[in-house]
Formats: sequence, structure tokens, C-alpha cells
Amino acid sequence: MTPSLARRRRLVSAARSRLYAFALLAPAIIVVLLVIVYPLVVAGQMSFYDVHVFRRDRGFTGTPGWFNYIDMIENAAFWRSLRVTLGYVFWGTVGSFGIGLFTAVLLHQPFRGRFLARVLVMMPWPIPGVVAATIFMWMFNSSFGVINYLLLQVGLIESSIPWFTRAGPAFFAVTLATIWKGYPFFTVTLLAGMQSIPRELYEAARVDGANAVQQFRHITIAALRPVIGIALVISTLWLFRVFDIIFVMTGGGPSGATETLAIQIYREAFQYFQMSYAAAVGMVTLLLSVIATFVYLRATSKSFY
Amino acid sequence: MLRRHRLNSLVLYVLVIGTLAVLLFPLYWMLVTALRPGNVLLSWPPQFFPADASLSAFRRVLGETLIFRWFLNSTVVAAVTIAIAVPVSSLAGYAMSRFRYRGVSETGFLLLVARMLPASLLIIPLYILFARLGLINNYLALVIANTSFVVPFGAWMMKGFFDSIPRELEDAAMIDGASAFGALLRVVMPLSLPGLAATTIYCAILTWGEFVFATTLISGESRWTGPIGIAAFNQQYRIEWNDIMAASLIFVLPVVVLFGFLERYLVQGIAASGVKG
Repeated sequence: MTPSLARRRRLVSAARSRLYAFALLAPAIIVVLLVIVYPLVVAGQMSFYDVHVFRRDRGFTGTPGWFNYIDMIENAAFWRSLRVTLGYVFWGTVGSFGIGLFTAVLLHQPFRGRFLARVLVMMPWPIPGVVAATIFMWMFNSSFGVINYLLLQVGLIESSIPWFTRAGPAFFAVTLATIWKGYPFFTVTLLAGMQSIPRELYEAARVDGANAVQQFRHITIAALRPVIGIALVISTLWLFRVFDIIFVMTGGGPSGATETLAIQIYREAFQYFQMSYAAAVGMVTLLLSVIATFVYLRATSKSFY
Repeated sequence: MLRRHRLNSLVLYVLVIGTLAVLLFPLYWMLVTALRPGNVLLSWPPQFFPADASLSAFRRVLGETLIFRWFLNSTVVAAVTIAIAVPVSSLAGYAMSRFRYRGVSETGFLLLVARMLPASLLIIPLYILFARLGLINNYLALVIANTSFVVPFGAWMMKGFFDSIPRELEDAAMIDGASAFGALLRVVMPLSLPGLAATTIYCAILTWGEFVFATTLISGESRWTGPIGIAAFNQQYRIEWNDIMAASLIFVLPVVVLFGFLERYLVQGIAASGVKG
């Protein structure tokens, strides 16, 4: 075989293997392009027009402009929703991260029955958001709910709280349900992260006289930093998207107190049929979640090892 | 020393059991409420133990609502989504694990970005698109939408599993005369069963609970999936809490059982997906 022929064969087989790689990827690419990229482009385009879904021409006529965005900036409901969203994302993250970290540390300890305890702790994970929302609605029921009962028994409140007709309590109830659904993700990721920290680090620290708190701060948390970063990003993006829990529990009410941007987008689009305005709010939501991602990744990207 | 050790483990058990009791209380409450007979449900104080347990709520829900039908609809949607999304994720994950061509890692990045988008934004153009294609009120639309939400993370999870399978195995199979795809199918896939299990359970959880798309794209009570049916209970004028809890319990049971058996694979999958760092 002449060298040039061998080279040609190699080239052909390289091209073939490249083709093979993309053939394997093709279905995933098609699905993502069709259902994610294309709608995103259309949504972006829609946000500059005034689209009426039920008109034959679908409304892509007239001069494009920033008017939906201008409407949005001038709309008090948008700013209220933005505040609600930021509060919801903040408290949702704090709560589920806190519980996630606590349970991960607890389940990292060696004890009999640990395997079962792990499965049980993560049980809220597979529960559909609608079901979680329904359970919490019942627990927070103002007349017969178990939460009012317990609070009354303990003496924290003197009369039952009407959870879903007042702004603060409604926000609290919705956020608590969200935290319950969201903490197992932190438990899993932090636990996986802890299991990959070499034991020798702790032994060395003990030899140097570090106590448990110091070990936790300077080894566990420090080594988990990148894991925490990525988990925070994924959780924050999830919180920006949460729809079912809020929609079922309050529908965004009372008077907008739990109307996050995800809910507002949906209501504008499918209750008031302001598709273009909704798309504009959606684009801004997307921008916010991208910004949040970069902030987290920057803050936690310092590597430990 | 030994005594201190015992004390520590006692404290640990108390902590574990206390934590579980608090965190699992909502599920316990769902069960207790579902077992209450209707006439005493709205009583005060709430009963913490189902002393007068009855299955009347289950009987009523199964007999008088379409829950069985919704359950079936959800099963069909979930099964078809799994049948499509798991192979698609596997092939993409395999390509991402084995090939370093330009465009392969870019696709991986595209998949990650795809996961960020809020469904309530995407649903607007999708609704218009599906309306144009005549797919409104068609489960195909739901399956396509669900698939697109499973594949991005599923592919990364499968990549993590494939990364841990040595390449030499495929090379050996190919020297023995297998084609590249044959080696993937007959040598690599059987070794990545934990990965397939992880992707399947991930897909099942996501699809079983999916609400935004189902509520927007599907209408007509007999075509609803489980979550829409359960949400509809909430909108009734008079909410029968034991009925709705019984319906919820019936609906969550399969996914909870599946999760109980396959949880460790999902955990492994999340660790392998690179969330670990």
C-alpha cells in the first residue's frame, strides 16, 4: 500500500467517524432546535411586534419596535412581579440550600440504616409539583389546617392565620412548599461532593488541632465550593422557572403577592392573550437568569484543590 | 471513650429521626387525610393518627372521577417519552463522551443552555407552532415537549456514565469484527445499565409531574394527565380534601416506588453529570 493511499484511507475513516459522531448527536440537536431554539427565536421576534394569535396573519405586521418593553417598564405590575421573583428566588435558595446542607452532613455520617434514611430524605423529589402544592394548601388551610393548629398549640399565634388571603403569609406558604420540593437536589449534590473529599484532609487537620467546626468550614465547605456553585446555579434557574407550585396554590395572588415572572408571563399570554407583551417579559426573565448564573459561577469558581 | 461513642450515635439517631419526621410530615399528612372518612374531615382539632381509617375516599375517587383515565394518559405520555428520550440522550451522551470534534462540545454547551429557559416563555411560541401543525390536544405535542426537556440533562448524565467505561472495550469488539454502532449497542450499552436507569427515572419524574405544557396543550377532561386532574380538584367550589389526597396518593405511588428502587442510580447519575465539579 502506498503511503498516500494509507493517508487517504485515514482521512476517509476520520471523515466517517466525524459523520458518525454527528449522526449520534443529530436526534438530540433536532429536538433541542425544534422545541427550544426555534421557540426562543420566535419569542424574541414576537416581543418586538404586536402579535395576535387568533388573527390569520398571526400579527407579524406593522413596524417592529421596543414598545412592549416600554410598556413593561411603565407597568407597575412588572416591577412588583420582579420584586416577588427576586424574593422568591432568594428565600427559596436559602431555604433549600440550608436544609440540603444539613441533611447532607447528617447523611454523610456513618450509621446503620443510612441507605434507607437517604432514600427517605429525598422522597419529596419525585413528588409532582402539583401534588406538593396541594398538600401544602391543605396543611396551610386557614380553618382546618394542621399548621395553624400547631402554631396555636405552641402559642406562636393567638388566632388562625388566613394564609392565602394575605400577602406575606401567602408568599411564605408558597415559598415553603417550593423549598420542600427543592431541597433534595441540594442533598444529593452536596452528598456526592462530600463523598469525593479525601479523608486524609480531615486526619491532617485533626493532627494540627482543628476542631469539628474549623474542619467543616475550612475543609468541607471550602472543598465543596465548586459543587455549591453549580448546585446554586441549577437551583436558581429552577426557581426562576417554577410554575406549577405557585399556579396551583395561589395563581399569583392575593393581588400579585406571589406572582413571579414565570406566572406573569403565563397569565399575560394565556389569560389576557397579550402574547407579545408576555414574550417581552419572558426575554427579560431569561436575561435575569443568565446574569444570576454568571454571578454565582464567578463567586464560587475559585478551585479548592 | 466507648460511652461517648454510644452517646454520639444516640444523638445522631435522634437527629436523623427528628429530621425525617419533619421533612416527611407532608407525605404522612397526605396519607392520614386520604384515610379519613369524609364526614369528620373538617373537624377541629386535626387528627394526627387515623383512628377511624376508612378507604371511602379511595373508593369515591376511583368510582366517581376520571382518575383512572388520567393515570392511564400519564402512563402513555411517560412511556412514549421515555422510549424516545432515553435513546436520544444515550446516543448524544455517547458522542459527547467519545468524540472531540469541533461542534461536539458546542452541542453539549447548547444543551446546557437549553435547560435554562423558562417553560412559560417557550410555551408561547410552541403553542402557536403546535396550533399551526394541528397538534393541539394531541399527546404527540406533549411527548415532543417533554423529550426536549429531558434530553439536555439526560445527555450529560449519560456522558458521565460513558466516561467511566474504558474505550478499549469497543476497540476490542471492533477488532473482532463488530461495527462501531454494533460495539456501542452490544458492548457499551449493557455496561451502562445504571446510566440508563438513572436517565429513565429522571425522565419518569419529570414527565409524571409535568404541568405547564399539559395544561396549555391538552384540553377535555378525559384527555387530561394526572397533574391537571389533581389541579382541577383544587378549583372546585367545595374541596373534599380526603378525596384529593387519595387521588394524589394514587398518582404519586408509582413514581415514589420507582424512585425508591432506582434512587441510587439517579444519585450516581447526578454525581457523574459533572454537577460534582
